[in-house]
Amino acid sequence: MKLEAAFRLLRRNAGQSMSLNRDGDVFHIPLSYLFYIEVYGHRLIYHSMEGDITMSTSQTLSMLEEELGKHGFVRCHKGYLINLRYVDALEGNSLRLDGKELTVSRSRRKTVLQALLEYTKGEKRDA
Amino acid sequence: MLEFLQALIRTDFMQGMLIASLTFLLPLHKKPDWKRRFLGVTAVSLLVSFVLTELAVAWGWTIWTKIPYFAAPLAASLAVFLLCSEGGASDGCYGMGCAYAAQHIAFCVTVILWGEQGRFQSSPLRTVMEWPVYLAVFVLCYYLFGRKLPVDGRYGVHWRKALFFTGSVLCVALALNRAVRKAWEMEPEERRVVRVNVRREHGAAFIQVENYYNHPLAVEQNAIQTTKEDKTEHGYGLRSIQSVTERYGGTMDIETEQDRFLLSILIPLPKALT
Repeated sequence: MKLEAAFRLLRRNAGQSMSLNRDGDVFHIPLSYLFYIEVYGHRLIYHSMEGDITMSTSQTLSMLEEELGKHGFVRCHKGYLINLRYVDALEGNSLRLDGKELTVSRSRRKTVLQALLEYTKGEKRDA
Repeated sequence: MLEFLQALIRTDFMQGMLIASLTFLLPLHKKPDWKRRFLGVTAVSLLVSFVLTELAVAWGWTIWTKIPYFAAPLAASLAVFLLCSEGGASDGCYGMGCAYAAQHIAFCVTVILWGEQGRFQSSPLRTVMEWPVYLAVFVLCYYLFGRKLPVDGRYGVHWRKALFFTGSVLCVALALNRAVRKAWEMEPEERRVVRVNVRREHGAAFIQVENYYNHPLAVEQNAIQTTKEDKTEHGYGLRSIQSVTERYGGTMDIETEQDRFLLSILIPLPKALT
């Protein structure tokens, strides 16, 4: 398990990143540092390796989903957009990511699984 | 009478029964040493397969159609067992034996009912018939022998683990079986290749099987549609793999590139294992 995680870290490409502007402070986060994005009220919480960043933006999770979909992110619940890279386990209606249990909605389970399969195939090709 | 016995052996009925009974009836489970149990099971299965293949040759049956069929499920079981069972050795062993036996017996029943042809041709009735058999054997084995198998000498086999192993073993076995069958018809000989990749990724068993095709195929990403459209190319094999994969909470997809065929399967591991 630990070895698997270490390889995942090695393989992460710092290529794509996103900029978050919060009251003038600009954060640059490589996408590979993002664990998942959570909706909290009208704000978005970016859970990343550098800590959690709460943002109040006009951006919705659906917009982000469209943007990040091709970078290995998938919506597993109406409130979560997850980075497939960090998925550690998936069973029933929950998945484990960064040591946390996140709910997977029934309607999205199939999509998440397919995305994970697609992502794993991609990882194999890159390695 | 002799003809009947020959038919029985040819239809794998004997193999299934022998392997099942040897796997579960030999007092292997009384030895807590899982390595011995595992080796015992493997050796006995191999021996039985070997003897039956020899008999088949003696009676004039083609050996080459039989050998990949024997080897595929066994190799698959071994791969899954070695790669995916961390610490759950007895469970892996148990699941392997179970799946192996169940597969053989199910095949036998269907072949007895529908003849030699039935194994290769898709028939809806067959698929319907097959599953209760798989499940019945599994449940039976679990209740008869599952509780006796000690894990760390303390508690019985966790049904989720056993179920996962049974599922993934069956998937690999079916996928391989199908690929081997396809590969065996290939010309020239150097294209009789099947590439297999089994890994543990993202808390799931990731299985890939790749083989060549005789002629280029035009296949969409969606596996189910192709199965329906073209019954000769995607007959029983893919649909069966799909149904097993889904039954165990996984997903699969197929990819074709000119004359190559890549099948990928992902089955999430139960939490008890991750």
